[in-house]
Amino acid sequence: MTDRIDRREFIKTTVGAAAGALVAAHLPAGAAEPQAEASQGAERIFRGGSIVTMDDARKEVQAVAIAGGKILAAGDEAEVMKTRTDATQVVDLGGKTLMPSFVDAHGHFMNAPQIVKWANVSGPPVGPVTKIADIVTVLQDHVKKQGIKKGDWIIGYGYDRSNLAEGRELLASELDPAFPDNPVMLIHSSNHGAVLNSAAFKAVGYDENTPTPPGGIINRVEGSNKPAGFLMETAFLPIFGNMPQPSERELLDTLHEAQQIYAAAGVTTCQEGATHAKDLAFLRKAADQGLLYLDIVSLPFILEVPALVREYAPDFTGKPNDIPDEAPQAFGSYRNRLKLQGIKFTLDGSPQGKTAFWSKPLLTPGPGGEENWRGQPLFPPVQVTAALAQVYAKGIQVFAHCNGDASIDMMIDGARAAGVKADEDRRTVIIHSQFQRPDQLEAYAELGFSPSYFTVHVFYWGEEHVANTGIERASFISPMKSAAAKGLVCSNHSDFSVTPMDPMRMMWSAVVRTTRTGRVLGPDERIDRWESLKALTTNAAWQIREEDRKGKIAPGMLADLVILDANPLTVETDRILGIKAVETFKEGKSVYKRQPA
Amino acid sequence: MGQAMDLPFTVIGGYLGAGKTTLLNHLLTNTAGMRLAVLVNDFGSVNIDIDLIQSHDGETLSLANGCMCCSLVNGFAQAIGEIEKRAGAFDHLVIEASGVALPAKIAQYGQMYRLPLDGILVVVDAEQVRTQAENRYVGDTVLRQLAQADLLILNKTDLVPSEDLESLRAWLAGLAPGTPLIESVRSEVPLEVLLGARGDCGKGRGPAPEQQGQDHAHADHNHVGTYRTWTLERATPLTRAELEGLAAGLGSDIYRAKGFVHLAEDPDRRQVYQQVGARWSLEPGAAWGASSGHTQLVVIGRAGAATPEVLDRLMASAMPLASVA
Repeated sequence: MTDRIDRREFIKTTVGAAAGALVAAHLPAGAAEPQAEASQGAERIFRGGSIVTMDDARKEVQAVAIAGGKILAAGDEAEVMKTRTDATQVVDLGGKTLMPSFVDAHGHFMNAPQIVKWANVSGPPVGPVTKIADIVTVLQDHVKKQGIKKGDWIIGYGYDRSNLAEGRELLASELDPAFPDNPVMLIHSSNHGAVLNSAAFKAVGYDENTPTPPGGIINRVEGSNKPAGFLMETAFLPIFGNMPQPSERELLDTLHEAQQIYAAAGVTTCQEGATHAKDLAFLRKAADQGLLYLDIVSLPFILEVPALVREYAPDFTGKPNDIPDEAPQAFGSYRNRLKLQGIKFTLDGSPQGKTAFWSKPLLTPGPGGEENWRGQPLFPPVQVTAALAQVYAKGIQVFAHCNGDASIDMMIDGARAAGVKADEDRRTVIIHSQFQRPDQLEAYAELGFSPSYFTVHVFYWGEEHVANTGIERASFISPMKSAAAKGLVCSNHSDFSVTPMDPMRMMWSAVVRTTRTGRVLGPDERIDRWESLKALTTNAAWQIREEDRKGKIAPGMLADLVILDANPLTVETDRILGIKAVETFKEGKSVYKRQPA
Repeated sequence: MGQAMDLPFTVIGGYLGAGKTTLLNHLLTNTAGMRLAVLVNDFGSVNIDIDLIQSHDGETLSLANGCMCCSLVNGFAQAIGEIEKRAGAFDHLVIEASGVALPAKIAQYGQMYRLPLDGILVVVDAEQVRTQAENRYVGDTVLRQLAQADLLILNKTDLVPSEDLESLRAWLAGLAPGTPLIESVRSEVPLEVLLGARGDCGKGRGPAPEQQGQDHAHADHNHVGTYRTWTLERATPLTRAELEGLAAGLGSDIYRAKGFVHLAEDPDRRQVYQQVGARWSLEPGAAWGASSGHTQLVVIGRAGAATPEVLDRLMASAMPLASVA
């Protein structure tokens, strides 16, 4: 595909402003960016703290000047101060740390508008709940804050018995006194179950006569057939599927709060990493209405491509799964802060759900109690190979979700069949890439695959992985050190909202690789702090072809910046987790400012 | 969620290319008056005669013969929702599992909406299945699919020499012991074998009075000698033990049995009996009312199959209808 960003940046930096008209001619309407006008001097200069550039050539500088949404100068303070004019605001960092804001390497932005309407009933570190009473308090606060009216649903997420001091499932009768008139649903951390209160059972029509469906769980009140509160799997999924959905307007109204989840964590580029047609319509509307102030990178889901073609290319007469020749033009450039960057393939499920696809069986039974379970591919290999051939032939970037080594093998087969080579610079991103085998790193290098790892998995589910796959396989999860040694560009992600948007925890986990019990899982794969931060900044930018504008502090780069209250390169390791964003800037404009406690 | 729909459903599984979609197209164009709701993974592959399509609205396709085709692209819940909107408009729901799906898992999805499961049909590519079973990616999935079938449809038998077919049958019998096997070409299997006849044996609906007669079991050969049908009619009530014996004893030459039963333990109302392969169910139906209680079952099996012993025995133990009245 034509790499618009690279070409644009190339022209800008080598030919200069005179080429502006030429550049504009190459760009679709609305994609033009603010120009840094050196002659006008700095709008703002940051100094007086640690300034971490994420630039290997010069890791720290004394001062940074910004203008027109870009970095104007970065270097020694005396030199940067030359850009100062009477209008320049000089910001004293007061010993805090300025660095490039973070690029979300993979997550699901469309979960954010939903989640801001829900109460967080997770246990630490995701949420505040350690006992049943905490849940009631969190829900009461939520009702107040959200102005939830009598009769409306109260929804919480992250419920998990393992966080409760009581060590048992929450009962409907423990929610009923505080919430007699509101149906309450607390979704289990696996998203496969929930606790309901009595009003909710009434609303969904579950009572003592409701049979437990095959493959489902309905806990009953002792000595009766009355549902007790907790439901799982097939007893829960239809309820969840039939929940009243927020209107488009309601969702649009949440977008500020939704973006604040990212901005408050110092993230200014968000990923919508498996976009359905209706979500894309929503995001386009949000963009057109000017509601986006962070960049959103959308990856349409491969199964949605026929629907998207029907919608956006109604005159196309190709076969059902064909992609029009013009389709690549829809990718690679922002329009009102929304861009499509590539097509998302999903080859398997999740390792913690045992639905990832491995080449060797797990040591524990499958999700349905199966023996010799190694998971399954989501699609037959021939279909994956055919769809990959089609997308590669059109020059559209491929983002493939592969968790188990067998799904990675399928991806390698598919790319080889399509004739893909590393020197074509296609930047195929293998999302998660968690249980890859050492021998597969060679294939990544050969095919130009770039892994986006998920190191916080070591913390959240590391012990489960040891139990399911054994210590050897589990220790090689998200092998960042080995991948970097092969020259692979690695990013790191949180898969929001599977885990919270928390770059400091991502960074920390890649550095320490400790599980919840403190075990170091795969000590050889630990990386240093600098590389760990690169995975969240410049490497993540590279994967979406924005390394020439994001992820580093250097002249000409976007002024996407974050001020942190401590320097993640120098604090004690355990203190990394406590580092907070103080202020976040998107192209020089403040988009988040921490309220003093 | 409160009210469960009374809509029996069938899962059609089988690996990619086995002939699931051909089977669906075949069903949708030979419905014999049955109104089918069909959930498919991918609209692109459903190749329905354009003349039959009445309307196309997003993810649903309405057909002139009363059938509806609904894509699963937005998830199972939404597709079921589309069907619930038109509750009562359909006689049977057919769910196409994806090529790598485990059909028993899909059956659970239907059951979680409290729909009665009629059966799991797994279509097998006679030419490819043994190669597929050895594929490093999908071999274990293919084997699991076979083991989860209530009925196996061995398709594309015309592409396989008869001696290979013989060893294939034995191989399948080893992987799915006792599961009846229907052989087909181009997925052409009659609807009454796959889904049962249109609801005339359904809850509360008895046969026309003139069909009542003496106890007998008669056999018909139909469909150019591919299938054999037995009709069991008897006035003597069946005990639950006898019925369980019947269900367990039909054997792997019998594909399906359907009808209503006069049950000794619950003699005042009909019991609706359904069997596909080894999977069977008995659900209480409407009261006999004016008509006298009697059992009527239609059993469909392989052409040339012997009458199952259990059927013979039930006939022998029955008293003539006249002496009961």
